[in-house]
Amino acid sequence: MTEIHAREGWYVTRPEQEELWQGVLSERSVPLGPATRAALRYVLVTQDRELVIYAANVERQLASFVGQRVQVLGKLVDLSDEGFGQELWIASIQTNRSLASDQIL
Amino acid sequence: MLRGFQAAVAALDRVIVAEMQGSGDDLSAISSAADSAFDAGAVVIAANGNNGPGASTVNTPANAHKAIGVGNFDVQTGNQVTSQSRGPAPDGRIKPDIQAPTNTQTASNASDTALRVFTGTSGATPYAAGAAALLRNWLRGSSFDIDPGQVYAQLILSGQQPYPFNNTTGAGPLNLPTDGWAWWGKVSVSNGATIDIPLNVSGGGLNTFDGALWWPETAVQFPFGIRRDLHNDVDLYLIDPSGVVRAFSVSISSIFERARVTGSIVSGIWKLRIRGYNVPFGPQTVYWAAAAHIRSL
Repeated sequence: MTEIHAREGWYVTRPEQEELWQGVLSERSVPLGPATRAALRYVLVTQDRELVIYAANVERQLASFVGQRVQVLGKLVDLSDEGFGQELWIASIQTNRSLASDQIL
Repeated sequence: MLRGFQAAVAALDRVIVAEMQGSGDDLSAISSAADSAFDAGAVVIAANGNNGPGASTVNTPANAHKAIGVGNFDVQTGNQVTSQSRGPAPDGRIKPDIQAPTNTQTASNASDTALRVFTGTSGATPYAAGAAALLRNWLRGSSFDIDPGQVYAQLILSGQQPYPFNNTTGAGPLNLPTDGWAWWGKVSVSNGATIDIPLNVSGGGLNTFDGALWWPETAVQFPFGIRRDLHNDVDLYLIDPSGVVRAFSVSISSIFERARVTGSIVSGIWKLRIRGYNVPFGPQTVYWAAAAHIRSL
């Protein structure tokens, strides 16, 4: 298991419940310029949705998981009122090779 | 982005708004271009970025040494914004420098009459740039030009967060001082030097005395990723007519200081004291600003 943001104060104090998420980690292109959020550089592709991941300062740690099935402990945070949207803040991540693609939640 | 800075400087734009949110550190090409624009006489107002709440997420060119990084607060609630990029800059400087309102309604490019809600630090930065333009016009008076550092000191003075600072608010939300007296200037500060600037305060009803400093620095990049930050630590004290230090600002890592005295401001000769606490790369040019005014509490 690789710890990502688990000990950050801003993560710990968020009121959202921690949940387990499973899927495949992918990179995504992020635009630059006004009103953009370049830290959403990765996406977790689950069986029924795609969750963008907040990856500021941890891009290199997450890069080694790209293309792999992973299990993520995190909080789903909604920043819609700031002009963005739902994003996954990650406490920790680990590969989950035992999951077949049809078992991904 | 670099061509944008070059074009703005060539056109003699005196207030440059940079909402690039680029990647790179304070010595990147974009931030270096912002520093060069300042050296050419331009005020550079840059969006701090929307990559918070993690630390050290301030984007380029807001992390430049000679640009004002603008954070944001929600205009309706006054709350801090989770997504605002946080400081410090790579060399430890406090960022953002100031904050401005976001989540406001503005014109949209969808049609000639369309409106939209503009969010993020990009939505806040134009307000700070507008304040900078107002201050610049006021400061220069009938002169053709004015040193952009003088505008920066006034912007820091207009922030509502006196020392101590943090990497979420910097010098705080902008609120230009009104109803009172203002002073400004620049001095050269050597290591260990103390410079007292007398300010003659008069008039009744004054309830706030503000002082601020800002100074331009740089850093040097050597091969193999080795860098040297040429940081000077300058402090600020506000001293009342009886000689009592009423407020101070002694941040170690920032390149601004900002202090405030509240309550009844007595008439007489106040002093704005500038002290070169640790100035190994001096003498350092320091821009100062002060205001004795009536603030709505």
